This record gives sequence, structure tokens and C-alpha cells, in this order.
Amino acid sequence: MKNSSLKDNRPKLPSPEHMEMADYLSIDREQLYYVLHPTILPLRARVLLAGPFASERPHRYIPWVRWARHLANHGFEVMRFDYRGVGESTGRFEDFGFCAWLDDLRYCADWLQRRSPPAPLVIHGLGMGALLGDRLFAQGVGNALLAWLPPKSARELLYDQLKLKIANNFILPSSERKTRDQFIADMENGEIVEVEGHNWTQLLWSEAAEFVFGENTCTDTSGAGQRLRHVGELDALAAHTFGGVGPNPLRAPGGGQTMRLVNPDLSTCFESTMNWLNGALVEQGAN
Amino acid sequence: MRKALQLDIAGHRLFGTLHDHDAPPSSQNKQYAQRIGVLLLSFGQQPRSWVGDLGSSIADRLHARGYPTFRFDMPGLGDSPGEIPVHLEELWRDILLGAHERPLLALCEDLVRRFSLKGLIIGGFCGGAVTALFAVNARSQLILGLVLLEPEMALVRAGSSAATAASAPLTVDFFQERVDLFWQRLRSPGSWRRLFTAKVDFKFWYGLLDAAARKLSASGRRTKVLPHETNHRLLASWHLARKRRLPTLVLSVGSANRSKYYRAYGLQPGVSDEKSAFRWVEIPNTTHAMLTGGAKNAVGKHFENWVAENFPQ
Repeated sequence: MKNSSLKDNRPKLPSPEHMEMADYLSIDREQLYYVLHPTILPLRARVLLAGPFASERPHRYIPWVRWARHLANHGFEVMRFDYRGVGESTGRFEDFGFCAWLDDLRYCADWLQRRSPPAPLVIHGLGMGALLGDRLFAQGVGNALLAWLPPKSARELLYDQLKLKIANNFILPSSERKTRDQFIADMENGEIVEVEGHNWTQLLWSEAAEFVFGENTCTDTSGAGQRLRHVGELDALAAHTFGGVGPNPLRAPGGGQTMRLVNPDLSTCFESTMNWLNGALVEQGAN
Repeated sequence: MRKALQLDIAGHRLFGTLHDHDAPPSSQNKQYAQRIGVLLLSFGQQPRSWVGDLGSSIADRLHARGYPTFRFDMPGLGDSPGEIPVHLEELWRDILLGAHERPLLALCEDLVRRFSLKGLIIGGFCGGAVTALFAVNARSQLILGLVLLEPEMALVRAGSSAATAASAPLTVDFFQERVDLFWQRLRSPGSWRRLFTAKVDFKFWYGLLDAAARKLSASGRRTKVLPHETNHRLLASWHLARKRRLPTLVLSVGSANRSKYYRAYGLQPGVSDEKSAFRWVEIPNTTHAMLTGGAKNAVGKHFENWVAENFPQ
């Protein structure tokens, strides 16, 4: 949105974007960064967005924020945050792992649920956030869980992200030539492996073994007031934008070098997800 | 200690982070008044912590040395609301043409006034370095120094229409790329096959021959010919910063390709000039993101040491 001053004398209504608020929560002597997207419409539910893994975060940030704003424009109050040791939150990445990040998610869910007026809580996770959200939901937190692009497990996620290390080492002539399995063996032996500026530790790898998507599922898919769990099916454009899955789907076959997408039209994905949310809220008798 | 900031600047609402002590940063507090601050700008489309959280790690280091350090998202990026184009190349083109220059200058004025600072050192990565350099043109007394990480000297070509750009090929006619492509094509059987079947890419060959001819002609006249895609306004800002002896640190990747890139624009990578407080450090064995091969640590160290040497407080 471009900020432009109104020329007429009509009273200005606050836009949802101008009501967005960023601040910090304190957790175990660290600062947890969050952004709250309030809604100017009657509150339908609160959505807690659990973002992806550290190395994916910068590449998914723009569409993730757009999604938060889309939700706020449709009657949802949205909270998104950075895990400790990542992005705007304080702490050293190497001091944390999946269990600490699950605590962060729980902390934010508690904070959001204490806000008034009371409203249903939807946990929406992307990538690693879906894994953590799944675990938290299984522990009884939240009225609904929505997962986008969940990895099968945290170890599969890390194994996939190690491709960044391999790619960088391939470019640099003096770098060590190791396979992913060798880097994992290094971590298991207590060595630190730097991947895209973050130091991966033995703790990170060992905790990853405990996180498997759908392992502790408590799915109720029928009846009013039931808790709903849903893995969203993303179209090719959304999967590419939110997860780097596949080539640019707007690229015409044989079209040569196509420009890359930074802010594509994701309305198809947003609308279909909104339809699911509407249905979920109706099922819960909260609408 | 980090503090989340949301400021209304030049018609935009900008989200940022301040790394500072937990103290009232007002003119009432003499201890904190008249300090020098650092403002960091991210590169291209990335949020203000930068890829691999390099930006936030630099800010933590500078804060530990006593410099209040700010990081902000420009309009439409990170947490800051605003419109951005559909395609990355269009966003880059806009940034390289100075789209963030006005918000940056207004932001500098606001931060200096709001936090009672003596002035600001502007640090930027890639496209952020371009915005930082453009700010020199305003000859603002508030800008005390520059730190440029991997500055881009070239413009990006992008189609004017977003609709056609989705399917149309991007024209890449950078001279250096053409030369590299030329050597690739010499070794490509497919390229020779096309040559002999009259399916020649005339545009490529014309561009290469034209640029080579101009380069040859210029070398005869002993003048420097810059590549087609040179961001001339940016280059002028670079020279203005040098002329004004504005303390500047440049950090770039120390590879043969990157050195060749900068030399094509008449610059001398790795060559410093202490008289004009200009230092250029090349970081070896890393990539453009300056994270791998220990670069994250090296960049932070060079940055904080240079600031502490040139702006002691």
C-alpha cells in the first residue's frame, strides 16, 4: 500500500497496515520479536503464524507478511514472531533447537489466547513451523491447525537444507568437499557446521529426531466444537513462493531466462485457505 | 537490548530495530546525547536482519562497542508496508535507480533528531549499499561515513510491463556476461551447429562486436569505456564520496571474478587510500551473501574495527 494523504475532508479510517505493531516479549532472558496484525473488522479468530526454519526465513518473508495482512483484512487478528536466535529475536542460534522453538510457539500461543475478547485460536505453520504447530496442537493448544508444506520430519528438513552448504562449498574452490552424510556425522561428533550463516550443532541434530509430522496426531474432523487439523494443498505458484518448490511456474516453456518472482498474485491460494478457515470456524460454531 | 521501532517517514511507515542500552535516548540524558549512530540497510528484497542474520549480528557487535545501531526495512520490504513489483528484477531496478533514496534521507534526519545523535554512519549491503551511496548526493552533514558491502555498480534491465515479463525472456547484454558466454559458445558443439545452420544469434554477436569495437577504440584514445549497464549516477556518487573524503569502508568478495567486475567500472578493489579515509577490504573464500568460509565473522570484525578506528566515542 502506498501512503497517500486524502485530499477531501472525509475522516480517515485507520488501515489494518497502520495498526500493525511490533514489539518484544521476554522469555528466559531473551527477547522474542513479534508483530501483531490487528483487524478492524469484527474479530472472527486469532491466527498464530509459525514461520519456517532460519535459512528459509528471509526467502519466505514477503509472502508470509502478505498472508498475515490478508488474514487481518478478513477479520482475523494475526501474530507472527521470530524464534529465539533467529531474525529479530535475540540469542545465539547455536544455543537453541527444536524444543526451545516449540517453547517459543507455546509462549506466543499463551500470550495470544490471553488477549480479549476471547476468540478461537488457529495455529498456522509453514515448513518447520508446521512441524512445531503439529506438536503443540497435539498437546491440546489451539482450536485448529493449518499446515503448509510440512516436512516429514525435522531431520528431513535439516537434510534438505544442507543442500545450501553443499552448493556454497561447490562454488568455493578452497572449501571442503563433503557429502551431507559427512556433515551430519560431524554434527553427531560434536562439531559445529555452518550453514548459511547459522551454526548447526549436535543439539539441533539430536532434537530433530524427536519431531516427526503427524506422529502425535489428535485429529477430530467432524462435529461442532471439534478441533480441526488440515494440511493445505498449495497450487504450484504458492508452493514455489512459500517453499521454493519446483521452477517458477510462470515461466513459459522455451521462454529463455524468465524474471524471478518476489510478489506474485497468490489470491488463489489465499482464497482457498480462507474457505477452509471459514468452514473450520463454522464447524466449531464460532462464526 | 533490542527495541522495535515503527516510524512514519516521508509518507511511509517504516519498521526497524534499535540495538542500544536500555536508557532514555533523549536530549535530556547528556550521557547518551551526541553519540554517533549506525544505520544498516538490507540488500534487495531481504528483511532487515539480512540473509543468515548477518545484519543483526553486525548490529550486536556495534552495540557492544557503544554505537546505537539501527536496522530498517524500506517500504514494502520486511515488515514495512508498501507496494513492491511482482518481479525481483523490477524491484532491483527500482532500488538501483534510487527508489529508497528519499526515505533514507528522511529517516536519517528523523533518527538524528529523535535520538539526539551527532550523525550516522550508513552501512548497506548490495542494493542497500547503492541506496547508501546515493545519499551522498544530498551532501547531508548528518551522514558521517559509509560502509558498502558488495556494492552493485550495474543496472538491472527489466521489462516495463509485468504482464509480458512473466513470459518474455530477460535480455542479458552485460558485456562481461557476453564475453563469458562467448568462451562458452566457442566450446559448445550446439553453438557451432547453429552457426553452420544459419540459426545465428545475431543480437548476441552484434552486441559483443559493438562493445569490443568501442573498447578497442577507447583504448586507442586512452579513455575508459564503461560497460553498457553502468549505473552512471551511482558511479558519480562514488566519486563524490571520494572527493568529499567521506570516510568509507568497502567490503567485497575477494575472488577473481568479483575483482574483474569492479575493475570494469574503473574501480580498484582491495586498494585503500588512507589520506581520504577510504578502505577497501576483500574477503576471500566466500560468496555474495558473505556468510560462508568464516565471512560472517570477518565482515563483522572489519566493520566494527573500522567504525571504532574512525569514529571513536
